[in-house]
Amino acid sequence: MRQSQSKSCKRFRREVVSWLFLLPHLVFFVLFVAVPLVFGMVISFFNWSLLNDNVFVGASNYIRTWNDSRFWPVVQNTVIFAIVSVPLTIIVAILFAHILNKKRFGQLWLLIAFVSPAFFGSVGILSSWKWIFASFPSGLANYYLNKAGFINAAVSWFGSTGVAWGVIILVTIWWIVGFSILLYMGALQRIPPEQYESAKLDGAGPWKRFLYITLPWIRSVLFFDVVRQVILAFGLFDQAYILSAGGPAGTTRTMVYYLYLVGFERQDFGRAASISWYIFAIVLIFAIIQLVLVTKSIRSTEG
Amino acid sequence: MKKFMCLALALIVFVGFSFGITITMMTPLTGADGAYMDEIVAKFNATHPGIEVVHVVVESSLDMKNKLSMGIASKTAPEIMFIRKFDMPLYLQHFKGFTPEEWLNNYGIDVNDIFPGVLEGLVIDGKVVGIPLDIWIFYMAYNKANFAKVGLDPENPPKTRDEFIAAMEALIPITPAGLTPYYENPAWTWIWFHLLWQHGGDLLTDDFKKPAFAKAGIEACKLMLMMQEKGILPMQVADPGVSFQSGDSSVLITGIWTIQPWMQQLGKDFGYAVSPQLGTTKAVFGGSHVLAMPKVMVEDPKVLQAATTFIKYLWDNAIDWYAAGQTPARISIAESQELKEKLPHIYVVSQESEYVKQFQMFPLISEIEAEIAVYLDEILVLHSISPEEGMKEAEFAVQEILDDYWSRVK
Repeated sequence: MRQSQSKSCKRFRREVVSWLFLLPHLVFFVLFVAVPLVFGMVISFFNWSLLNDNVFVGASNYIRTWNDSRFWPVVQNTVIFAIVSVPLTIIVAILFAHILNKKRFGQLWLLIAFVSPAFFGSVGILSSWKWIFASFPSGLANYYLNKAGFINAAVSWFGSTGVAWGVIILVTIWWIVGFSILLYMGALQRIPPEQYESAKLDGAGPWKRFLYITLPWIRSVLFFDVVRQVILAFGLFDQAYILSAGGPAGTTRTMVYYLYLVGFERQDFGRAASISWYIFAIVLIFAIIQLVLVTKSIRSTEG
Repeated sequence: MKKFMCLALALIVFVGFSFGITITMMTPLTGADGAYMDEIVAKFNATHPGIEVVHVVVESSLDMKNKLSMGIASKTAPEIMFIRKFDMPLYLQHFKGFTPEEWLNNYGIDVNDIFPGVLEGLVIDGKVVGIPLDIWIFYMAYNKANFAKVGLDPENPPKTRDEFIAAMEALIPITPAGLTPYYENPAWTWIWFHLLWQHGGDLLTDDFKKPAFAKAGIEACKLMLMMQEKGILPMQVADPGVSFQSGDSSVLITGIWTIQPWMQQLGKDFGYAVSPQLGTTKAVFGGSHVLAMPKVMVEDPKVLQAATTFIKYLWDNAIDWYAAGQTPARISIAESQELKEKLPHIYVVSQESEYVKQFQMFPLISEIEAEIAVYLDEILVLHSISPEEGMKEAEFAVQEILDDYWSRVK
């Protein structure tokens, strides 16, 4: 009897200790994730303002967003950005991880150069890029491209849609690729070198070695990185806000940029909350598509 | 121990009372003008021992509006807002209002001395909810040396559309490749508004139910396209300051806040004049900084008295503020000999103040401006649609914003 009592006492203590370990995260999770999530859902059904009485409007905010002719173009912009930037970022990351994985002189400095931007804040980095891509002749990019003879007159980097997106994608890749490089370097180092050696002996070229050895070994990291990159891409805001201010002609406005305009410029928080749930739904759809595709590819490899 | 506690308590009470009333004033003054305001605040604090004014700076309109909304909701807003007039419409019901007589009788502020166009929109139910202190009017900055180089009279800058176009065409030969004599971002909406008003238009109908800018907006766009075709205005987005400062470009039609730094940087080569009339109507773009008090923060009569004492101080010493690069909102100062002698450049430009046009006081004016910018980009930067098509689409988009607003506001 006493023995079973002490056992349950121990179990209880263990339970309490594990909850105590969990508590710091749980408190912050509840405070900064769960409560705002529920609150966001609640206010999306209200005409919510800081200055006036909040009025229940049912699904009106969702209907207004659905019928808003400015919302769907920003969804389109964001999806196109994700489709272009995610594969590019992953290709660049794998490429540089490969290069940095081989022992060479100055490898550490190269690694620092590639990885460090990922740890800097957006405003500082983007302000510097804005200065580099300034549209006046003495802007850094204009000045050196002109000196090198590539351009005759100053280029307005955010004056046309294609170039503006090009600059945004370039800066985004430069900024976020570092963390992915670290992930892939870790995955590459786990591949036994014997597999490459035997493949070489069997006459497999670099592309086949990548396809049949590297890719299967890094698949789990790749999946994690793709999901991470897609979420980042759908959350694109800082680059569009600071570099192009959504222009030209609103063609670089993204979903989060639009949410920001409605929430903070118009101070229509109910409507902004409804937009955030639309964004959630869109990201969820893409995540499910990815999950299905990756599961299929794993099954086909196993089969 | 008890004695020590009593002493400490007495000290705290004494210190608390000795500071009197603290008034917080929030301004958007991040540039050199902030230092001018700091100086005025310091002088006030030195001469008014019972009141301490604390100057808080928040640059962007958006941040200021969000802080003000939050502050009003939680009763923690600043007692005085030094706010851009176009940021005010959302809060008009939340600012303390006085009849013109109350202002004059209680505090010695005569609102009839303010330019009527500047006071417009600030009178709600017969009460004035804010005191405009200045006007940041558009003026023409030009490079006298460049004018002289091409045989133009540096002391007689262009005043009309024809004179302006002729002068700019004369300046093209000395302008470096890739630049234009009037090197300005063609998609800067404030320039388009300036020209819209100079063509007799306005943004919305008087009841704010419909857009009303298409006709004059098309004319403004056509004028800008014509200047682009002639090589007077750039075809693409431009950062104008650097080129004007270096003397590569020759002219800017811009805000009065730039006059002080240009004078210092360009020295004797710098010329200033009132904006030339490029349209059919005499009008000039101008904004204002307005002094307003959130109602919830001045319910205590002592706080209200302290806050209005500072507003009156600014009203009386406004000329110190205009040195920062602003023109007067008061008719008597704009016409005064004192201004002419102390700040001749401000005096010259302020002679246009009676023609100042300002944004209509509609709560979503910034959003409407941002939406029009989309179509101005298409017309003037991407050159993908005609002014007629662009303005038609802009009106449609603005109507959507208006309908959405009025469906929520009964």
